[in-house]
Amino acid sequence: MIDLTITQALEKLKKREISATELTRAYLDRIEKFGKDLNCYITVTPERALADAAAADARYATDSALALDGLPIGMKDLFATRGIRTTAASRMLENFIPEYESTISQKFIDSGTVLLGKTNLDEFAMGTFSKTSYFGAPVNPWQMEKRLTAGGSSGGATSAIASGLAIGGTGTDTGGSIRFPASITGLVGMKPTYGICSRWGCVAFASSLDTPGPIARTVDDAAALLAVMAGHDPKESTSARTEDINVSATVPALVPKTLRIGVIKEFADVEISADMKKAFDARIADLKSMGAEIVEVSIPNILDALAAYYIIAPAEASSNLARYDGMKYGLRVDGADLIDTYKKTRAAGFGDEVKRRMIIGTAVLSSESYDVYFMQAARVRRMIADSFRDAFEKCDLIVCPSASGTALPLDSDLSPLEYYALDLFTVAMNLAGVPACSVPAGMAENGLPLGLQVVGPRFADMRVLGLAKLIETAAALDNRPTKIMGK
Amino acid sequence: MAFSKQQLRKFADLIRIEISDEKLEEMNIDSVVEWLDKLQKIDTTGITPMISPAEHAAPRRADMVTDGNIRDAVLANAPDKAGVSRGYFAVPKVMDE
Repeated sequence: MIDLTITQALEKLKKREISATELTRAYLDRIEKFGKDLNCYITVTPERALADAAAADARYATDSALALDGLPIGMKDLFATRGIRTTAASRMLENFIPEYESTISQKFIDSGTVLLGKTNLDEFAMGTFSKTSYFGAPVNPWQMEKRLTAGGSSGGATSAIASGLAIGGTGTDTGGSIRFPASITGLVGMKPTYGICSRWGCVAFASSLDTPGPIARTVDDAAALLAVMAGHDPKESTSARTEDINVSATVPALVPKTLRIGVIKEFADVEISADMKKAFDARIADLKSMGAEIVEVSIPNILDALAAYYIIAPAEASSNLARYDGMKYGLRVDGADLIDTYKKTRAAGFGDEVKRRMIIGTAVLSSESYDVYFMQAARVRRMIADSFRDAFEKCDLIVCPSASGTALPLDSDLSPLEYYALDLFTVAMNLAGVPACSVPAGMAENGLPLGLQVVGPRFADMRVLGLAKLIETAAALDNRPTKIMGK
Repeated sequence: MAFSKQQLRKFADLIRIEISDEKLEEMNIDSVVEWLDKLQKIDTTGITPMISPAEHAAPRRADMVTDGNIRDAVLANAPDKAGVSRGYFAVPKVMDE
């Protein structure tokens, strides 16, 4: 039962071949068995899950089933869930129990899903290995004995979905936090167009970049989740207008012969593993043989996107995280006076990477460096967004690697800059706000999965998923959880 | 441009984070900032800064109260429970006697 995709499970639920309660119990059993070792959940919610499942079964019995009724999902622990601890993987929010529901998690409730629990992540979503979590890192289920990273920051979600501890789930992508973890766990991870999935009730990291999105095993499954997640939200000022949002649960069947597919010239010089090169070339060759036209496009400043990102994201984070002062909610560590209480609270509540980024963010926003760093980065951001717009006049979609290779061991000893470099292929899409989907594209010699990204113009989310599906079909990667785990 | 140790200390102070000199040193902030400097070389003359991808006009909503009377919910996560029992946030003393 664990190997069912969302599409398959919905079919069986509708035909009453399985019940939501049976399906939920199968996942809860598996969480019981493997959850601790994988460390993919910060909080498991078995009682809530069984209650959700019973409600779903009641709806199936009266033929009033909702869009995703009875599907057991994991919610990234960055989305506020009423009555359920929401930590952002930080000591600061270790005991925070929201009194309200985020727009995204509410949409999942409204579509009938079963909440299995809150998935692990990097602290405040800052990281690429999920190692900055206060609750320890989740583990990649592929070759589990090697203790590889499941990626970050949505590494709890990818660990849970690839291992069969959730049928699908949510992530957030600020600089690659959905796509990178999906690519190294053999999953589909979609960063939608900025603004189509509401940030309301999602713990803020960098507000002009943060993008909620789905993670699942197939492109069809990702579309089913995205269709529920997307929509204008009157509570969110950067939310896209209803007339601009074009999302449905049905992935369009693209006709390869009519497609012009762009390959980014500047990425050709970036060092990637031989396996990734092979997978990329093979999938491009597939598309070409199907009749697609391959064109070279240029995003002249795309290799500067990383530095622009590591100015803009920390700057926004340093402002967003000012709210954690120990007064109204969250941790408080008493000091000699008010200022000392702030300082001790924030010293104890935040981990090192969060502190590093807040200090960098404050530095680049300081009066003497505001124009030199922050505004310069914002100008480079404009140049990159404009280049994407121009590129999409020459092609319909772009294909590029999601990462330079396969998953690395959790105990890799990298410098901050080496960690930041892992975002090289993903950050530009956040700066430009364009949709991008990582899709399984091949296997490396070492037996680990590789992912490619499909990138499209703003609001062409369904076209992106359409091409992702063509690549998924050509690569035909086996990502059944029982096969990945060997049990 | 590089930031001096004193400047970095000042930034940590401004954002109210207590941190030792050794720890601040360990953070390697200089190496990150040095790498960020590569952006200075790019000619951005005449380019309008992009602050957000959402460049449509933010819609205005009617000036109406949409919630309220939720005092207990607002106080539910307050770290100082003594204040909550009286319906307030309790904070450390701010003024001298």
